[in-house]
Amino acid sequence: MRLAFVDLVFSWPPLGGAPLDLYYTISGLQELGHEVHLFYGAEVENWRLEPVREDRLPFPATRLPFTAAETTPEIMSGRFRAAVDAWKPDVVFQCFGFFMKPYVSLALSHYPQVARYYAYEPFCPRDYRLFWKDRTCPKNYLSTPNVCRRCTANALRRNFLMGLVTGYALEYERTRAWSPEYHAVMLASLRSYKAIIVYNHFTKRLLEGITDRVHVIGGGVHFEDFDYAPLPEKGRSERTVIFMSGRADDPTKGLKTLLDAGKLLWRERQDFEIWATLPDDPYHYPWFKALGWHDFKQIMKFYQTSDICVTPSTWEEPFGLVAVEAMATGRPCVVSDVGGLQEIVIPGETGYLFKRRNAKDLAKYLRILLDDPALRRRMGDAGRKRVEEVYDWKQVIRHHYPPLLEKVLQ
Amino acid sequence: MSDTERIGILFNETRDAALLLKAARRRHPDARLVAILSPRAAVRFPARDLVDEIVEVELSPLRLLIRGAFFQMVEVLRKQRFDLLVLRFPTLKLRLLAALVAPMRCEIWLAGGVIVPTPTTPGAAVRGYFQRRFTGVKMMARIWCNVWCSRIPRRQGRAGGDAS
Repeated sequence: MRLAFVDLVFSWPPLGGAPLDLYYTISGLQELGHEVHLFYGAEVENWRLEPVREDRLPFPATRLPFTAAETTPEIMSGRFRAAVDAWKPDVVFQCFGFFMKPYVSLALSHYPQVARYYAYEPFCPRDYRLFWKDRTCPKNYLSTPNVCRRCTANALRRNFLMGLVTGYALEYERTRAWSPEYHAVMLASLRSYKAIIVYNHFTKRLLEGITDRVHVIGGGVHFEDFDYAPLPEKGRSERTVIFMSGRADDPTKGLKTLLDAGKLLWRERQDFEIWATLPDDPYHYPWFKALGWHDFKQIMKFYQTSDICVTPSTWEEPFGLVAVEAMATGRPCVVSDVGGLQEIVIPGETGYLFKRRNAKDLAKYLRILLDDPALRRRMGDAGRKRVEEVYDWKQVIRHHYPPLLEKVLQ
Repeated sequence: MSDTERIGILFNETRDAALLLKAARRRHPDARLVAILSPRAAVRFPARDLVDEIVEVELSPLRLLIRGAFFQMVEVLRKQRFDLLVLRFPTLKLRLLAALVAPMRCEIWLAGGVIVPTPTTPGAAVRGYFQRRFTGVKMMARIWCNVWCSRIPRRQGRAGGDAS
């Protein structure tokens, strides 16, 4: 089967989870024997992205360059349509993109299309996070468009008043994403897809009433890249390491909750340390260590040195790759009950779920794991087994994509 | 990019300095990075090991006004002969300061990886600032009018599940 992938803001080396997800999906489908081709928009001028290193991609790719002036729905749709038409695919995958995605999708609607959403792009035009005042936003662009239009206009106001119309703001301006017409285009594009892939059931629920062709397919890791490291035996004077990986400086990642839990635990015991991938340490707690930013190899070492991994996100984390990585290394995970994270960890088996933003709840589960090294080991092993069975990219592709493609072509 | 390229980064706010410096190093691997800091910020600058040089100048507008040392500060920065001056905030004051320092190029680096080139002559800096502001005000007026006046009918808008 000939599969075309359209990505409007692709970057390689990857700048985030979306290009990584796309890379593994394309490579996996290629390994299954499909003919694949990536068409990506090189919006170097608008998004200020570094040029894609095509020599590092194991599949063919076509670069479609756009200057800032050419970043319009008409030009982008036209060019993508011409390029994809020339290749004649059987199915088109619509991958990462913001305000331009609905227009490009409609331009290619003569093909069976599958759309992948990586966060909450169709629901939150403000910043695709669906996160408002430290809570999951109860509104959504598809059900309360007028509220969301006002919210987005308000959020992007600063960009326009300061004259910083680039990237996200430029696409907003060029697509007239504040207008009712854009809302209609968005709905039409969502209804035109033969399938929509999302990371979690929370996102699937948001699409109820629009389309019933929604498939929940999680992301994954390359299982072979993760060496199993048995939990280190701790001497009496050695501290147990609780590790938080990911962009800990992002407030939605919930470091504050972990630190509050750390304070609670420190009052009763001093046998642990909390490590986080944070660039600077503004806290100076005796039990906290900011590790800074590191490459994948070093992060692997941190996982292997740690005893417990925590992902305390407060927003509806679409997937939760760091929890999967920790489980693949054989570590028990304590994660908040948000979005995709609550679907990754099986409570009581591979780790625990705690109530988001609830430091007491988190401390309770950390206490259980700190007290019981055997339980940590058991949960770590169960987590690794779960990743091998469910979240290894090979399994994800083999298990989900052949039936999906069959359904799309029916 | 030559080895001798000097990049001055004006840190009137040192939060996320390490992230910005790492991005600068990635973007300009051979350049000499110079952090411009106030003496108070320099004492507890968290990313000292990521820069090649630190230039300490008074950056507080109030202190500069009281001491009448604004042009002395500009002179110190001008002597640095930066190839690129990086600002972190797009205010008119900073743009003017950048224009007076007269680097070869000037860019505003905002959160989220957005980089905006800015003019390096005072007249153009002021003109550019007000032109952009006027265009922005016009665009916002247009957006607000549309958002408040052309509402999407409730029937059409009720599609989609509830996030709560």
